[in-house]
Amino acid sequence: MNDTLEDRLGDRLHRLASEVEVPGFAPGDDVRRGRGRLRRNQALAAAGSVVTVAALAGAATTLGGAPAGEEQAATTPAAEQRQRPAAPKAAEAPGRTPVGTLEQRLGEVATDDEGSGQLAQLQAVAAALDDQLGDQPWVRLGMGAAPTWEETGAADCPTGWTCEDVAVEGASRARLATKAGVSQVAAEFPGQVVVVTVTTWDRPADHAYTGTTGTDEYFAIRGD
Amino acid sequence: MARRPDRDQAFAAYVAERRPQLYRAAWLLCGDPHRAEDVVQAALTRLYVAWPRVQRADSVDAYVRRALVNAHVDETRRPWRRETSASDDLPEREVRPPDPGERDALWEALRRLPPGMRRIVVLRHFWGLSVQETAADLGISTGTVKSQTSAALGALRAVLAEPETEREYR
Repeated sequence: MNDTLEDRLGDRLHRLASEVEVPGFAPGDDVRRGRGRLRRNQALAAAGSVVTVAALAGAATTLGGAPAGEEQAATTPAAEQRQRPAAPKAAEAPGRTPVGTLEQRLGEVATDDEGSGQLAQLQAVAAALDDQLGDQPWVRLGMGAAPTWEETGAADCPTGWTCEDVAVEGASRARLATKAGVSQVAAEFPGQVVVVTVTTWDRPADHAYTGTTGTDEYFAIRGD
Repeated sequence: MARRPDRDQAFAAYVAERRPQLYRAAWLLCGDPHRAEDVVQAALTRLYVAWPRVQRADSVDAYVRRALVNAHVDETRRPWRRETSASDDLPEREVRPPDPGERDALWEALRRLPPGMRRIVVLRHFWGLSVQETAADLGISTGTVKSQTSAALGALRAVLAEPETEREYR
């Protein structure tokens, strides 16, 4: 029996499972639950945006963090350069109306850093945010990275945040944290864990997840 | 982005077709009909939210499988959820486990595995995933999948080799 257990285990599991009586169900119930979750996610992401969007109008400069030149001088090792997230091209000109999904917006404001593939990772995260939260009036985008999942804090869910696993293309695992206008995704890609933060208002007061590089840099992704 | 009625219709059709299989997989993972139902509901809720993208990427089955396993991880990590999130929509009808006369000792052996090993056994042998696919779904290394598979098979063999009376009185 020992020699054949592995070979026959699949068949035996299927036979065992086939004997389970499946309870009756109505697909409409799953649709209703899904709609409810989607509404909650969207409401959480949008909360807090109404008052602050106007105050941020025209604020197209980078908030916080050291200027790019200074930071580069302080972190010259090649390994750290590779850890840096894709760099924004430039802050947006005021008066521009945001167009498209976050994934599209990210493609407009970010460039790949020497073909590192990080832009593709960030766009995968953005796509997951779009799917989870729908179109949102995102104002700020922060990007960071850390060597391990644990270092980002994604193994836990801080008090006050709502956390759930999400699917991000190319990532072995990813987790979304949301709190009052701030949404963060930590996504584990081969070699690094990327942390993307988007806000519907100003730079967030606190984070659920943090990268060891880049987290304090926020860029305007909406300039209306 | 898909319009809501299209999304609902496509999602409902998928649920109608696949929910029984998902429930059976969840039952193998959880060993309990109510927890299995919770896990399936959680996985399908996540699927609905992500539906436009996963459908576009033609990865619905892979996504829901991952969501199911993640929901099981959540269940095992946070046992109090059993009390707080038990669904109001549970079927009133009692769900029968497999007929004891027909099922072999496999169920008992499976039940005794730690949850992590059970997930690997279900992914590898019920869903038929490769070592690499299993590692990707669980976010662990292929080496861990191999060693845990080996350990799980050893544990299953040990329990299956026990005399029936010993199994029953554990």
